[in-house]
Amino acid sequence: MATLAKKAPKGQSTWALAWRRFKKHRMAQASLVIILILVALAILAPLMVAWGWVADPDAQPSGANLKSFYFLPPGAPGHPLGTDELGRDVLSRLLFGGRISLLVGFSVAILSVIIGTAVGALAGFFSGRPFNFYTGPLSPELRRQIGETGALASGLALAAGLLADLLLGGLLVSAPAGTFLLALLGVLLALLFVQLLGPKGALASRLAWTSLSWGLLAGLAWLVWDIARTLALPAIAEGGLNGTLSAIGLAVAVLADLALVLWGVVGRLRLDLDIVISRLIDFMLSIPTLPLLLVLSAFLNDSRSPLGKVAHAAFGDAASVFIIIAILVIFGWITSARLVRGQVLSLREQEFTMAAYALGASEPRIMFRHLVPNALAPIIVDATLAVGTAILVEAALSFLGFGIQPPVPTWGNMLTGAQDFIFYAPHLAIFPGLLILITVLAFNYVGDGLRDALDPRSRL
Amino acid sequence: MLAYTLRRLLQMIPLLFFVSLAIYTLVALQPGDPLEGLIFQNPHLTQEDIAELKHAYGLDQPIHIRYFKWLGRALQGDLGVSRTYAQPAAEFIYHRMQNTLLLTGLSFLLALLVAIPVGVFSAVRQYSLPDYVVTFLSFVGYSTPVFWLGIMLMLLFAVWLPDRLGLDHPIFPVGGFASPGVDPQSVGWAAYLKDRIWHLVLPVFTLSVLSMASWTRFTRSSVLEVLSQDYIRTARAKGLAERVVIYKHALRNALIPIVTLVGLAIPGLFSGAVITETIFSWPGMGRALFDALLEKDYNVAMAALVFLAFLTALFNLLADLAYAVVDPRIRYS
Amino acid sequence: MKKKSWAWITGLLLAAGLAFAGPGNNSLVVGASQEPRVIGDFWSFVSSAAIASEIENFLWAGLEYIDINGKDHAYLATEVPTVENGRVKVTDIGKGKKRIDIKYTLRDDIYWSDGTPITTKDVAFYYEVGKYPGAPVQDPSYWKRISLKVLDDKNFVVSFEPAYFYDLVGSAIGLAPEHVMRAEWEKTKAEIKKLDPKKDAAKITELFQGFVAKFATPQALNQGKLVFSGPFTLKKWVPGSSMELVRNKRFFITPPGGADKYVQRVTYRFITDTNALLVAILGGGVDATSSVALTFDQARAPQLVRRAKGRYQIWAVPGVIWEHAEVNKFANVQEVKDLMLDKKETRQALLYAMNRQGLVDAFFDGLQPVADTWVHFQDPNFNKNVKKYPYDPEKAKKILASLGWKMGPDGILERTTKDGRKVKFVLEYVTTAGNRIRERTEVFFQNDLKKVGIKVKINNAPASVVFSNDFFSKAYDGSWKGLFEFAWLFGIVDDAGVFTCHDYLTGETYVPTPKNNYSGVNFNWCNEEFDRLRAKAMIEFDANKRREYWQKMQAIWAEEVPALPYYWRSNPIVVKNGLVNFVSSTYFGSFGYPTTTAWLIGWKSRGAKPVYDQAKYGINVLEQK
Repeated sequence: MATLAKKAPKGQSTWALAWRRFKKHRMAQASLVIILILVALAILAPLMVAWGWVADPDAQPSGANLKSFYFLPPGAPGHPLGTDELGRDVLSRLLFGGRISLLVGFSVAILSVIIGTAVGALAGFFSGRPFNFYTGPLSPELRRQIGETGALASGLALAAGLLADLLLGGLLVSAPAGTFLLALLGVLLALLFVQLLGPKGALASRLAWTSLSWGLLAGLAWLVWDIARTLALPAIAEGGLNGTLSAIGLAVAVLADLALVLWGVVGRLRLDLDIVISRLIDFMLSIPTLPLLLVLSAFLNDSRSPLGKVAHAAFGDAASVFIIIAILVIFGWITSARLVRGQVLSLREQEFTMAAYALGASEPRIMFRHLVPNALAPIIVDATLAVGTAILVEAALSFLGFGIQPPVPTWGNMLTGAQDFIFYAPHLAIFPGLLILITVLAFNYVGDGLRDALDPRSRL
Repeated sequence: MLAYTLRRLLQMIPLLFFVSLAIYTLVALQPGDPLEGLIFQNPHLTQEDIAELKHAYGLDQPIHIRYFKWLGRALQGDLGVSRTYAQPAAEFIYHRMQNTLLLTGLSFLLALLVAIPVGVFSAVRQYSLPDYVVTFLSFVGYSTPVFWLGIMLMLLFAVWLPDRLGLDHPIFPVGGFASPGVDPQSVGWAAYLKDRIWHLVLPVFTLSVLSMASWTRFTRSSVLEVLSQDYIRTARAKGLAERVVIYKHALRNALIPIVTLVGLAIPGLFSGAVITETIFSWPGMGRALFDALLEKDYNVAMAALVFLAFLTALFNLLADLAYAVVDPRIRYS
Repeated sequence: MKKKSWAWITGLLLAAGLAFAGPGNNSLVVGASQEPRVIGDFWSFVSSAAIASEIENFLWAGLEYIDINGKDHAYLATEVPTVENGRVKVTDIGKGKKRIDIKYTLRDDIYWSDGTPITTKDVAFYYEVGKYPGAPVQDPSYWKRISLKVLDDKNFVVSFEPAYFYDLVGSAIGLAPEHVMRAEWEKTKAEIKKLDPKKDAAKITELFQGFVAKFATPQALNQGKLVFSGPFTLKKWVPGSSMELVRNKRFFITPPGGADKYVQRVTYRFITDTNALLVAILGGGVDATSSVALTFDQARAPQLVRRAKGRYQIWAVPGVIWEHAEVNKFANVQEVKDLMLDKKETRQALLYAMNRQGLVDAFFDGLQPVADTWVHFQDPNFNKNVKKYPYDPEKAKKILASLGWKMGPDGILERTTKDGRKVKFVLEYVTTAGNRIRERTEVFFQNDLKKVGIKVKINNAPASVVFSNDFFSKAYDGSWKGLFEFAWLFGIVDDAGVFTCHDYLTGETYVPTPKNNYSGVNFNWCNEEFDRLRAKAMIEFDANKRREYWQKMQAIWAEEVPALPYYWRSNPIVVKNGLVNFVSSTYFGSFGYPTTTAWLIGWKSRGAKPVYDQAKYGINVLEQK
């Protein structure tokens, strides 16, 4: 049986077929090329400065007659796109701004989709049934005990996490490794607690490990993003290792805690996870997004708020980048969660799921190997479109002064400054906006092409 | 249906409670307080004076007390007084609301009036040149940053074109909602209306572009979806005129998802107005909210945010109900 | 087809343009980038925005006003009270404190716009409300020191105890129309009495604001809830758009040649986006700009300058905003001690090394004058013979060398401290991020200072952060460690409070340390002589004697340079040719409001007589170019 499944060549040909269909969409193809060029430019920007192809984005003119270096029009010698109000090279700032915009776009899209998929898959899978993977013949008594200790354990982990996250904010900054260990310790303590006081086999229950691994997985995603960030922003990543470690510590602690709490509360109260998550989504949807984004980023971007303090200590100038990504993810996961939930709800009733059950596959396996991969097509499309949306929202926030703060250049905050000088130097306003437009347009076309390719039935 | 509506309305109560709690906490937790700037206006102020002022504005109380005080009064219909406008916050928001309503209402209408016919047209002529053009334009439309579009329109109509044409005046006014002194009594209704409309052109267009683009796209795909259904083939096979097939059979069914989408998009239009109002100096609610957040005028910020939250919840419900009205297959119980 | 539609548009615009042309119907359109929230908030319970004060000049008259030369001028009062004319009585009350009694007499020919005579009842009413316990006043000290005695319908005495010299500058007290506000006030008072002032302070504040709102909001004003005493009355206020003022028939001053020769209707257009405002000016829809309108750069935009020839005048009027860098002088902060910022020699060297005139020329075409001390050059107490610091990098180098600094191999000065550490001259520079002029300024000075071996490390943050108590006031804890560029506003009644260390009159210390709970804005410059002189000047009511003290204080200040003075900001004003007496000066109406003598504003072509010459008080930007 198993060999038979392995042999099936279907998977490969699906993707090949999709690629063939994608190639038919000429605009999408052209857009893909544009995106690749933009990404290449973003990656190469520091090198281009090093090679002397473009000017340093932060370099301001010095010497006599400074005035003659400000607001140079496009085509000025040495400044193909002119200079801005501080005499900085516009082209170079656009390249570096692109790094941030793309970084924000990709990070937000990937993180939102990961979180959204996880939440949506869980909600869909557990809709209308207890929030517990079927773990073999456990007695009802034993299961109740697992639930109880789970709730206790999650409380404990939460306390440890909170201790690390909030009370020891100072420690977090000075000794991120210590916090990381503390957070892990909290989770381990909780597990130990389950092992010692819980019923036999409780620790072995997949559920405990599932929640832990979700936490770790999210932490890992964070790590990947953070490495990308560190590589992409060597100049402004003053926080360096400290920042990376505290970010991981924080992410692991918070996500693991959240997972455990969710498990404890939902499991203990025998709530329907789907209803809990759906209510949460309703709640999020009825919050007016843009104003709340403003409030949230004003709050977090302020280096005096607790989280702002941590972010600024860890990331220096780039703190607002990190904060904006976090904020956009808070609102970004909802779309993919709804999407995946819907998909999983219908997929779990289909024959191939029945077949997997019949073959004795475990529930986590069914969820991760059968249901989620089958929902992948719309997820990919959604992720692509989310990149564009994230870039737009970031630009809007930065434009209003609540987003990424200068001196880190982004297309959005370049426009804020440009507005003041629209009569002197319209080119300052034209180029950043045009780049946002082209980039977002490219992602939308690629998303459209992917939809045609991966999911030929839907035409939205 | 009635029971369902009532239940949904009841569910809005805890929802709004949590939303208001969340928003209040966030707004009040903003670092710094409204009195921080006073020392710069008046360096003589002693610490004692500041403490007195804090007490006078109730800022010396912990956040949860302030929230419950606010909630207690809000439940009695009193949303407090604006610290910077001296007016009751609700009254102030209501006045600003009227301007926003005009702006969003017209944008909404414009978007619908353009999106649905163009979307249908584009779907019926799928893969023709006009279809490609429409598709491209709608993609551009929802990829354009609204604030940039606003600035570009301003540049175009107020700087470049007048320069090119040798005009002294901007083609369209770029700020405010009316010329001063222009009112029906002094210039007559026709000139007055013209003036008002002239001021509306750029902001309304800017605000409607996004919805126009996405609704066009949505209408197109929705109509295409319906056109591929069996009953359309049946209708065509029956020999019905294409016009009848499209407008009577296809469009009605295609409208169902459009209604939902449009309904859900209305609250977004309101909060999206923040940007448009900022660029065009439009004295609406979005602008007021933005200022209130900057100036930490808590009562106004709360009134506006809670109102927006209520609006969102309400339109979610209305969209669901409209869905049932348009699609007889749907029954809520 | 295309051509036709353009013609149509142009025609329509011309038609619209005629509707608000200035001299045509003897009206005036003023463009402002801010809109007042309330007008007629006599006690500033709600706000005290510059734009509101400017417009209130049209609508209400005070006892006195500050004229274009910065001198007191009688308005509703018969004359300016002075010691010489016997209206001011100074009494020594011991402990180095004084009390003054100021006797005012109201004119006989003054009326509110509804015909009710203006009497001491209106003064008493103003006093009663402002003095009422729990009133959310913005300047508590004023209300604590003041008392009022009404003698009869036209005479009253205002007393201050303890009194300071500035109590004699401008009107000592305000007025509010008692006959229209009394009933509402009695209602409010009854409500307040029901509340506990300790527990319900916030509610009481709201009641006071609610009382003001009954009269001063756009809705109330449009219903005619208030009466006016100034040269104009408010006809209509469309919030978010415009405000229309028309001439007050009851106003008591007749301008030369008769009131009908002057502007009859004034419209304020509120366009909050300054770019849009500039467009409105370019389009001819605005005759003059408010004191709160364009930015300095926008007033010099090529589009405006090109079109201004023969149509507009653009003036740069020196204002009272003092751009400077504060220096952290707390020697307990390691960096301050290492760089010796607490020593005057170091600060002098910094000033010599900074080319301030070069900066002003490069960025503002020299239109914003370099400041020597904190006292404005238009101030009657200005001392022009103080020590000045022209750009002289060689001198700076010499001073630095005498302090023990040696040029390091990397071009940065270094020295070995007493405890044997090697320190480099790396100076932190903080300012508000996003303020382009300041960002340019710091780079300009960074460059200058590099030449003498000082490395400037820029550490900017948004205004909300740098001006927060945690940052701004905590220099003692090293929240900022070097220079901090921002601006103070020094009006005509400045009392040097910013640079006072110890106040001998009140016993307070204005150096923010944990000891006094971080109150005050003096970052540790304590000069006893300066403080003693100030204490004397504060209670010296003889202007000539006070000037002596003030000039000595400036000499001390300039020698010590506790802060680095940069330049005085100028305010740009755009006016159409032919508009007369819409003129601004540094201290006109305290802060340079061109509306202080609003009854004189008019069009030359309609017979208005020019009284003021703007060229005496500002620099013509067009000629400068």
